[in-house]
Amino acid sequence: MNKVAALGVIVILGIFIQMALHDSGPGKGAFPQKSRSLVADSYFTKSVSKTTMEFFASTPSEMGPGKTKLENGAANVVTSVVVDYRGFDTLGEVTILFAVAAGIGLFLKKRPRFKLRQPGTILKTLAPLTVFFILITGSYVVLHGHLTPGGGFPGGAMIAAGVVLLALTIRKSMRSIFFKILESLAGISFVAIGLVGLYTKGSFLQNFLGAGALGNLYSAWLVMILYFIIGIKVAAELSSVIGDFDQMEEGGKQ
Amino acid sequence: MILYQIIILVLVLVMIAGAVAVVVAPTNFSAVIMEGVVALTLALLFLLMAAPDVAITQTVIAAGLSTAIFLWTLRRLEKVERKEKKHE
Repeated sequence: MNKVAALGVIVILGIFIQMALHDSGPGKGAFPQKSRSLVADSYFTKSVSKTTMEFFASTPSEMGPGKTKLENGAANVVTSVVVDYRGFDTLGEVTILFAVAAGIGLFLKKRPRFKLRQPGTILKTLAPLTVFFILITGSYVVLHGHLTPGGGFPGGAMIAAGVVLLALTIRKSMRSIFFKILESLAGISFVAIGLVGLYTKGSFLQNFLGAGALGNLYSAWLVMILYFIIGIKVAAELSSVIGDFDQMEEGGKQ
Repeated sequence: MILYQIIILVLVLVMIAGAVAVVVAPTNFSAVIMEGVVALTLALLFLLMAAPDVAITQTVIAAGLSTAIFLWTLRRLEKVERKEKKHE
């Protein structure tokens, strides 16, 4: 009976996916009909389907590479919406993540620790190599959030995945308190940057640092700094969640 | 264009098959793994439909971290079940 109900849910979800495939909205669907041409379209698709030079050749001259009279200067429009124009929503999102981490830490209480299960040979041999690359990729995604797809949330999650791998390999007690302090500091500095914007420019989280030149690594200062902070916060939060789970797991061995 | 649509249809079929496999899987472990397959296929669909930001997030969080957390919880639950059986 349960399985029949679950299959019914799957069928309903499949119908929704089918509807999305035939959607006639302005996005790039599977079966595109006439798409409305918007100015934003070129921005949305430029980092996906065109090279940077192609994009700049097709845009008006005041938007070309190296131009500085921009609102926030992020080449990736998704990032500039998420962190700059809708930065307050992102603050709420980060707060929800904090609530999740705090709740899990509250309910999964620590227990006395017993013998740890040692990792196997494959994990012990390969983990040092892979952890290295995972952490580098995560840092890259965090730092280039304003230029390429990605940003603080996925990059922070990648770093947390590396921490999981380390925790599985090393099998020493993870200090949850360190992650929690790091995470609180990141949250406080997020709000502090918002308050500086409020003080100097008149509204919360407004860009007070200038745009920089479009396309450079050191541009879109506010977006870059905020995504760096979000990356630290997400990585610390997810790592502390994993640490709580891990301790629960170890505590169960009696 | 035809090739693009065929690839997307194949991916959707794989996704549906994976979702059905989650329901009818013999053990909880294989259900969790099939759930990861569904998430990964969805990430590929996002990538093909020109939404790389969402695709990255989907890959890392849904296919990676949530599968790991599911497995952790599953192992813990099995341990509890074993202990209860011993008591009986």
